[in-house]
Amino acid sequence: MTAMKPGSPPLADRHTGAVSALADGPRNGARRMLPVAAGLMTALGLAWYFAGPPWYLSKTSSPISRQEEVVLIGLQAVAKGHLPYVGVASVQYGPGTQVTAYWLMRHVTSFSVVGFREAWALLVWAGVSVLFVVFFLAFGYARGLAASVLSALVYPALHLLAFQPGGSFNGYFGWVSPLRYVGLIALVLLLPAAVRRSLSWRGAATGAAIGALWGLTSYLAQENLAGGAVGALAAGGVLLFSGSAPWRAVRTAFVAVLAGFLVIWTPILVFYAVHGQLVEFLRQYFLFPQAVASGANDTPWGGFRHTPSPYTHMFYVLPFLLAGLALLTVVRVRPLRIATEWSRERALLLVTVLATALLYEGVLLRSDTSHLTGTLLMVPAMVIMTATELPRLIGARRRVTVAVAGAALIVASFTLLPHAAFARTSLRSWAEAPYLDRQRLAAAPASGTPATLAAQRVGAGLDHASLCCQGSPESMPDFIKLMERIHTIIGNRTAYVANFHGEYPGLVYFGADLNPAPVSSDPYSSIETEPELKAFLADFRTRVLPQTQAVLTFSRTTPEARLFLQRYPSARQITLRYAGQPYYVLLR
Amino acid sequence: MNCVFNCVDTMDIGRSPLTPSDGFSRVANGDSGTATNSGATAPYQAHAGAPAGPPPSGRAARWLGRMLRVVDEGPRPFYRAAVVSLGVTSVLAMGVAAFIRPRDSLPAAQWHLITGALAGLWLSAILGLASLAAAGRFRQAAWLDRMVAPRERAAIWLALAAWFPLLLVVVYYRARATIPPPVRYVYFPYDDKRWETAAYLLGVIAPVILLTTAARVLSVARGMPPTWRAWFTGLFPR
Repeated sequence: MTAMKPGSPPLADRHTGAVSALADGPRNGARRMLPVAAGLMTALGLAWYFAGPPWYLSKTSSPISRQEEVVLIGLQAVAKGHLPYVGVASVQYGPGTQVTAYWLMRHVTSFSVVGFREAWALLVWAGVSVLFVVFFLAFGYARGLAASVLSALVYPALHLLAFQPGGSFNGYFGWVSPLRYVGLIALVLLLPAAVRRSLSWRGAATGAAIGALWGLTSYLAQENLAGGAVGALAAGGVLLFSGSAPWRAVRTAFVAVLAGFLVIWTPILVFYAVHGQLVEFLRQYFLFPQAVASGANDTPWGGFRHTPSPYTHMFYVLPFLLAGLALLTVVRVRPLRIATEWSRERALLLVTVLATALLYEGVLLRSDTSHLTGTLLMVPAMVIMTATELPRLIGARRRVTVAVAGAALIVASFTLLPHAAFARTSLRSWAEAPYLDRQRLAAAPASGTPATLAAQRVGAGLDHASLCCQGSPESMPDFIKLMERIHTIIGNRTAYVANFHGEYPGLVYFGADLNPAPVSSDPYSSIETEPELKAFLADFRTRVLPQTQAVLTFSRTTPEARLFLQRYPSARQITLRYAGQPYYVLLR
Repeated sequence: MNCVFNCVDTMDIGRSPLTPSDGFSRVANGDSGTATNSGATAPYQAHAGAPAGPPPSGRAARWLGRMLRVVDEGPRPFYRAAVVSLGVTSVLAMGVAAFIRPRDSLPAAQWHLITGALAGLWLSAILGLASLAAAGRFRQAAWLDRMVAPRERAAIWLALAAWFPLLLVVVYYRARATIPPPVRYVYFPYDDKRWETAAYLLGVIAPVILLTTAARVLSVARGMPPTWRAWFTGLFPR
């Protein structure tokens, strides 16, 4: 038994994770910098190979998805001078994602659907990079590599927007992004290291950096805020009460994390306060997390239509595995003891299970394969950590026993996956896809610059697509023609798009470059209940309508259209056609 | 083995002075002042710089002494506390399920909750009666001590005693889920799943926190803290 020095917490006994080196003193740190640097390089290299540029998105022709349409209205509103994230620019997702995507589209890519996809691809690349870096920093080189490769090849979370075998870089643009979850993952996984070294200035700086990352990702997506806070408190509490870390270290680490968090959030809150929109910003930020947590948009597994999923087994079995693993992590068998003064490995295994468990909570609400994404980002890491640490922690001593038990655990974890996920052909195709897709797309002819404004809004390459949008059978050229016509008719008038055939209004605002009416919120993105809709319409009638010069709708009986025609009985009514049906433009 | 993994990973309780059985035998040791602390838990020593506080007087001192004696008795009081906690939780759960329901009907969910609570109440009654009936009749079960040491059992029972009432949150939300939402949702159906997330968090995360906290609370208590404050501050190692 190692004698404990006063004030020397057990977690400080040994540190194999690379993050320790970052937080150590200069001499110790210098000795460990090589593997850290190797880990970082490998993580970033893997992230670039699987999710990085070039994506050749102007050479792909996927229809515009509804997830993109929901986001486009906010981007268009910001482009027309509205404050991001509030009012007509409101979106249900994170404010930072909107602002970052807008900035990237303005300064790096292009203000078009293709440009949005490129901006989104950049965000995904950043998310994958952070995820892999956190794996390497927290788990060390070998385990970080194993977790990253499993994530990229076997588990489907990163496949939802990736280089598809035999295809292109494609998937849920506008929705799927590891950045929605990596803040939670980084905070919970790296917290023990921050606690361990928090009493040195380097350690405090590490804590502040983790806090800043958590703050930034919470600005990008709300999922990181609540999950990260609960995870950090739970991890800190358990480290404290297990006697693994002294109160001073935990408190200092929390203060450092909070300081880093506030460095990011203070300017944001001050910005909205200066514009008199702080309350509205906070209301919008917490609107969906609160609504979803209390039942809005929630579904049974597979949705109300019970769509079959190859991950049903995973969905039902995982919570029980997590419960068992969590308990096994805090006990030691033969004889059974509640573990105290934990080793670094035990703490790391617990926070890995904790992060996975917190991510899984999200899929209990909106229960389908897509929403399992967050959990599946962590499951590979949990598999690796469980296989490498659990046998030893519960009493295995002989190397052979540890190795056999670890291998058995990894094999057993595959039973949660559909066979196709770990079939040799599947692994090979996902491994080759980034290289082969890039090769093939690089050889494809480049598209010319679009001529019209609407075509430019769609973006080079996509403007000739055979299918416009997810919910419409029309071709992209036909859609562009309509948008061009609408833009010509409306010009710079303030317009309100009530609806569009099979699509969200954001598509029309963006495609026709309209100046959105200053509504209180995007009704498709920020309104859940009938009373909220009534309040929206009341505000529309009294405040917005006097400022609105045009309304677009496929039905003149739409409440907003009726209100407009009541107020402006002599309004011009122009009938356009799309998908064989009328589309009305009402002009003051 | 060199000290790499779990060098000091568990409480080394050595020879436990505690009664080994949970509620099935009586403890002779009522003198907390003579309790031996042979393991990692040392008699209370004020943390450097920590305010020891004035020694408690009157009622506070009596209660503290009583609580420390309870801790010293081993797992039996905590086993009984868990049984009582289960019983009380079951009774309250029946009340919650009966009162929180749609007007003029008692849905199947409420019936299931009441049935489950009745089963819990029955179990707690059986265990409680068995504990009382068997008190002092059985010798200490060495095999049980070998498997799970008395201190660990005390912590487990204490954690369970704290865990059972938390189940009322699940019961409440499950009952609430049967009441239609007061407003109509425009785009999506409403599916109140708070009881599922509550049950999940209570099942996966809460046990870990409660177990480590319970072990810590008892570990500090075995060090005979002179005041309530010292007991509390002892939970936060310095």
